Amino acid sequence: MTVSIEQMHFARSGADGFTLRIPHLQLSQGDRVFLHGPSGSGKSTLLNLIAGVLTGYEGSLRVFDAELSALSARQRDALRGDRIGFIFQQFNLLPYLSVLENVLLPCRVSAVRRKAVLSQESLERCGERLLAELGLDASLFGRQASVLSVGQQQRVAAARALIGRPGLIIADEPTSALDRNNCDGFLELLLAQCAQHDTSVLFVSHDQDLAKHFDRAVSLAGDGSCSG
Amino acid sequence: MFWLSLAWKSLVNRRATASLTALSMAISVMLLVSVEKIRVDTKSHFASTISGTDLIIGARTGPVNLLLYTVFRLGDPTGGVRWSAYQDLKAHEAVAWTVPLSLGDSHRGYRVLGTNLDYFNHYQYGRDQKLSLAAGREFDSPLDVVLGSEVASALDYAVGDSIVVSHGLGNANITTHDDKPFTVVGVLAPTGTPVDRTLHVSLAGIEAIHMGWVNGVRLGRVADDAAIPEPEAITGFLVGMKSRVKTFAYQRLVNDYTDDVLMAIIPGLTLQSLWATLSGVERALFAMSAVVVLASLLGMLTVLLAGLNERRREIALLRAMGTPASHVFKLLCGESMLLGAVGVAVGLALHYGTVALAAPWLLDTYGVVITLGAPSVATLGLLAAVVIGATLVGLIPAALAYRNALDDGLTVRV
Repeated sequence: MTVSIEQMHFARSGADGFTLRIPHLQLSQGDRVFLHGPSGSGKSTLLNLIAGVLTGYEGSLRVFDAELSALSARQRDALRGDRIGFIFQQFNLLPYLSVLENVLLPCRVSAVRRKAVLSQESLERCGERLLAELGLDASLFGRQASVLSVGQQQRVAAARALIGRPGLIIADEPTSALDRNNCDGFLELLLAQCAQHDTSVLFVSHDQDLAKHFDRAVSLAGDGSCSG
Repeated sequence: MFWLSLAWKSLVNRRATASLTALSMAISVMLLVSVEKIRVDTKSHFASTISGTDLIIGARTGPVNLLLYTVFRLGDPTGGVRWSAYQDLKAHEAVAWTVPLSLGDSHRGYRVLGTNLDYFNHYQYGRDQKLSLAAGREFDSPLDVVLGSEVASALDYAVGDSIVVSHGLGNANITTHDDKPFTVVGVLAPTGTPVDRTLHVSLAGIEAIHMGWVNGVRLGRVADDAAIPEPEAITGFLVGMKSRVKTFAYQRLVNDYTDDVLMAIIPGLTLQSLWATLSGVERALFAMSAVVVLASLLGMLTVLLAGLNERRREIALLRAMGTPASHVFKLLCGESMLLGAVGVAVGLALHYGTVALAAPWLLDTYGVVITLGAPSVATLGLLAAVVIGATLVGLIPAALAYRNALDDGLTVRV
């Protein structure tokens, strides 16, 4: 099981009294789940919890069969780096690294993902192949990430999330800065890559039209409750 | 290694602020290293003003004062040594050699030293270097004069020129010994010591020009062929012992001498205590340059803190990729360490450039020899301290970034 949540309850510290309740949520290997909800419904909180950067929940939250509350901070960091690829809405890239260097970053941080790549091909070869498969022109590979358009940056971010074959891709509003054509093209390429390696996807967006690309949709209500 | 290279690339990305920060660090490092260099070189130069001499003997006064007027040609002699006392002490069995010194006259601001040929044989400076003649010969007749190199070059004198000596030590003396002009017979090679600023004549020469004078006033002309008498007194004398072991016993003997009120000093020890009186200035200078380094470290802290907010996204991204928060901490520390290291490297280069440019001028103007050499252990210690200081200062933004990284989670809301 990629992600398994049972009767999880999380109360954010502070005076705002925000609480997130997820009675049941499961992602099996290869599942493609669309998560939506109005802003303030706790989408980011849920992602931070699954990523293991936010702790202190009650109930059960298992990621790749490990109960996160039982892991140390270092172990949660390692789990995240080894097995989860992230794509964010914006600011996905380190502006001072080249496109290819950005793609290879997870392999510098995680030995697991580095070895996963090296068992088949060289790091550079893999990075270039992924970038090409995501439709990025080869002339851009050596350029500084900061010169790319937003659409190009999201493709680089996708290649980086995919490198080393993590079991789960978490995409947090990756298409909200893209126009409709770009958005559909990007989604198709991303989901094709994930399907190829049976990678689970947790895709967050406020754009309900995108739900049709996914196996199922989960919605978070404004009060922090969840329905799927 | 990867984290250092990431820190480096991040710094290069912010090259405008980073290079200015490194430059301010470099300038402070240059100042620090140069002050240290000048301090050490001046000290060793100072300590090598006189060597090979075991004792300096003169009228009883402060040891530093005796050293100042006998070796550095500074200040006024407070008294003298009677000729008979000199002869008596010179004849002691433990004494290998003596060099008599007679001061009191000057020429255009430069001191005239009356001595004998033993001066050229026994006076040593630096690492037991003897005086050598750049031109001409040693003095022979009473009215011969041998010039120090600076006297010759500053006043443009050459062998064969004629010189009139003034009575007393002032620069604007009107009472001159113009009835007895001296002839330049030799010029000494440069030594970087007060010898360069001295005119050397024989004791007989000093006596000759004072014939017919009483209490600093010329009473009348003396026939040129009048016999030159023995001096009544000299200012002091240098002593070399047959065996160093006897130095202290002989020093006690001189200090307890009853026929004249004398004192004997060991030049090395007195040089040290003289340097100790000057070292306040030296320490103040060093403290000031250390404060400049501190200021540049604070400047670096300001720049790093100001840049921290824009870097929260960068850090959140690294965290999302599984970077432990402790690595974020290391990254930031590595960055300030790199800034410090670049500052030190550039500062050292600036220092060598400055020394190479300024050394000839310092030698010409102050006679101080500044050497271009590998940094001393003390200097390397200072440089390491700067890099360590920069790294320590980096702990502050690193700790803040660490806390932010834990608070921010995956997405930053700035």
